[in-house]
Amino acid sequence: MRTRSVYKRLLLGLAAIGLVSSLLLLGAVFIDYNLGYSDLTGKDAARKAWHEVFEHVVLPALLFVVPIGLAVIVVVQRALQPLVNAAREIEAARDQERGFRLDVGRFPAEARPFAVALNDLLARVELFAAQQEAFAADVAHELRTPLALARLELDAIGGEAKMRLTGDLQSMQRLIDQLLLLAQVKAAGSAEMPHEPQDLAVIARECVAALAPAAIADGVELEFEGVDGAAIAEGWHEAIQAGLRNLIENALRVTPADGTVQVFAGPGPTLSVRDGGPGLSSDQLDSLVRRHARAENASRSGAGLGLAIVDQIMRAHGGHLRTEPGRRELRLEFPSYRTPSRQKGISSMTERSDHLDPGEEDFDAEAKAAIASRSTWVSVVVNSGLSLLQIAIGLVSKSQGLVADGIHSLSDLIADFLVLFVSHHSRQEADDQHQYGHHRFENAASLALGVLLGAVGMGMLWSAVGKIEHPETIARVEVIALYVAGGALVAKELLFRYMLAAAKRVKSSLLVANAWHARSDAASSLVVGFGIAGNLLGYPFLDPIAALIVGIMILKMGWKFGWEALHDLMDQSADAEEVAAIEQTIRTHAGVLGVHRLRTRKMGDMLTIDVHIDLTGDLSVRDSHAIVVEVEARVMARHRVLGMMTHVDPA
Amino acid sequence: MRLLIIEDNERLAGLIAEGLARHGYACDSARRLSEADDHVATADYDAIILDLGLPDGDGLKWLARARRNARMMPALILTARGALGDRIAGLDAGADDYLVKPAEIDEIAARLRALLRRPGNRAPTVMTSGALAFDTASRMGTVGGKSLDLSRREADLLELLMRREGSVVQRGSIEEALYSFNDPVSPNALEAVISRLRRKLEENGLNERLHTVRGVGYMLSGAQP
Repeated sequence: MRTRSVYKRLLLGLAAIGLVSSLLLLGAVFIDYNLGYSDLTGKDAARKAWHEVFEHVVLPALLFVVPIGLAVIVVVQRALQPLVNAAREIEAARDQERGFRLDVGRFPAEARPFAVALNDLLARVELFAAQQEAFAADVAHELRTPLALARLELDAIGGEAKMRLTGDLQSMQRLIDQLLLLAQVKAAGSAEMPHEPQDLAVIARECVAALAPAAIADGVELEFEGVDGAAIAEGWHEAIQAGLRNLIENALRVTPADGTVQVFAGPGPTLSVRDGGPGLSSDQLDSLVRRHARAENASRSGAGLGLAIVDQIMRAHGGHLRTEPGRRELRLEFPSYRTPSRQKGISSMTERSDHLDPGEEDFDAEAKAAIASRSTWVSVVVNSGLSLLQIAIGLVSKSQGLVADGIHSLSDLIADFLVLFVSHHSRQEADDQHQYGHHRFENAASLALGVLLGAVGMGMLWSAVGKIEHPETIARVEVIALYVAGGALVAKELLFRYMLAAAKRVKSSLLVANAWHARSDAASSLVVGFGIAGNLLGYPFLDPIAALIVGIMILKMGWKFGWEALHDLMDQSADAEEVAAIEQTIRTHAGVLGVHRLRTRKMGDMLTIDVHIDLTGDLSVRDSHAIVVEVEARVMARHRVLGMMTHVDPA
Repeated sequence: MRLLIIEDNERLAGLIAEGLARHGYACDSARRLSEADDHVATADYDAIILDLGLPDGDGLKWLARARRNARMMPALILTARGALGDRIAGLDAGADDYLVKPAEIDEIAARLRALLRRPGNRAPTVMTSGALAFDTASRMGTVGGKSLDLSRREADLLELLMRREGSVVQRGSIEEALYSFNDPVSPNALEAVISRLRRKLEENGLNERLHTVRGVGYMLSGAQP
């Protein structure tokens, strides 16, 4: 079947409809105006007829078909965009297929069954693979005890056959170990790999230490060299260890007695093993990796499943197994280690939320941001509607309290806009004029808002006090003000419930705070409601008193915003608990002998810190730099630290 | 030396016991944890060899419980569970060493020897390895009864290497054991001690025993039988 683009088909359909309806219209016009062929012969008549036809047939048809055609193009492309995105996601998940699923929620309803079916298929394929691996692992596991028996029985027997049999049993044991390891690495996949920074030199030393006794017994020299001080990679210590061990074991096997096997860590996040064998071309490596991935002829070359396992481990870490035939080297190359990029706090609206109850659903950052942004927009719309209504009705019904409450709601609106606006700006990268990024933007915006709210609050206090001083100027409020105040109260309570539900769903503390803020707003509506009711019941001064209270509320809000922003702008430090936690992180790092002069200052929602650390005096610049890099990576990974300056003192 | 082997496969337990008897250990065996409890209650064992998957429970849990009851005899886990992470779990549960089946008798015996040489265990004060002997109390090293005349650092080094005979001791741990924080350690200080000790061993006919693993550390290989 030929594949055709959906929107081209729709356009063709539209063109056909346009043509048919034009013809029909044409017929209708001819009949309606009693036009005949003769009417088209005269020059005047023809022009008149064409005019009629254009006006009643071509124009309506064009007006109808062209916008629809444009809409079709836009709608179809938009509707199919999720499919294009999904294809891109699938491509991006290459080598990390396990656990990959399409986000069904993002598909248009018509395409959803297809996506669901695809996910289902993925799940079945994975289940099948997992069963196969589990089976292999079970078999390998069960084989261990009889193998142990056979080897112990052999000990009791002497003779030449014993040596050969022992060798056979040893290779069998090796194969079993490798099968189990392969199954486990595959089962863990990349999703569940622990991602901890690992010092590759430490891992290499452990492996060399573990294998050196066997090498010494075979008369092969096994040595380690750290080329670069900092060979850090992110991953699973034991898996990397198992991978390197396999490489070294292979190297020891191909190296003759009196030969040397060298293990290197670095430069950069790499481990390499150089041996006395003939070297391995990329094609050979490829075929070894691939052939053994299918477990054919696994034991013939003696390498067993070793290289396939190493390849699998490297893939799970996002790295590669490479060969350098010229240098008789095999290299494990890890992706360069960098501190995880952090976007937290008000600026990204996907707050850290460790202190909230863990819900069942787990949202990815994007979905979280979408829900957060939607609930913020709902609050914006509700608040703006409410405040305009309150101010308008307040003015008409002469209720000062209602106007005050309207302004109070309006300041909420401004605060919400600030959140949206700041989230956009403070996330911008550092530029020439703002070399530390734009996090301070948040503080500046808060300060401006604080000043604005302070001014509004003062103005309202002023006018309310004026009214109370001259009670004769207080008007009797119209009843409609009471209805509006009541309505506002109900609307705000509903908004609070909606926002709290959304916040809990995405586990965002920022949104929880916003929700409770919306509820505290309802308090002002309550006060105003009482004020208006009192006014109607014959205590007219209660309305300006309500306005006074609301004015104080606005003033307090302004004070809070402004004061906190001012503090942060004045380089306020983090609280003592957090400082202690950061110091603990630095102090417990290997190689750090002491910590002093730890200073912190707030930068938007994040911290920048500088610190002095004590290192052993006779370290080389390279080694101490390596330690500093590790310490900084660790601190930034564990705390909300944006930048860190470290001064090294010799201890 | 009396050992308890906790292993549900009777034949395997028998073979291990036989093999270890050749290395001079007397072994009892238990097929279940309940049986092991009875054994431990009635006799004093110098070390335990423990399988993990037993018919009446998990060996790791049993070990953790035994450790809580302050039975501090060293434990060597010998199991078919060899997955990544299992080893750590075993050592965390209080095991002193961890071997995956199938292991050879010589390997098991070597690990046991190392366990029993750890300070605090009821090992005799004199460690021997072939003709080489070291008395931890008098800090005297001898080869075939002839004194090696060791300096304090050389004696410390020999003791450390003998305690972990047959495995590589990393340079960092040797430096930690030999030098206190206040000692100024020049980069070649350790090499000097090693080469003096090696020369003294070679003068007494012990060639090829003290090995250097470049970039990592040093190893004293076991005596050739």
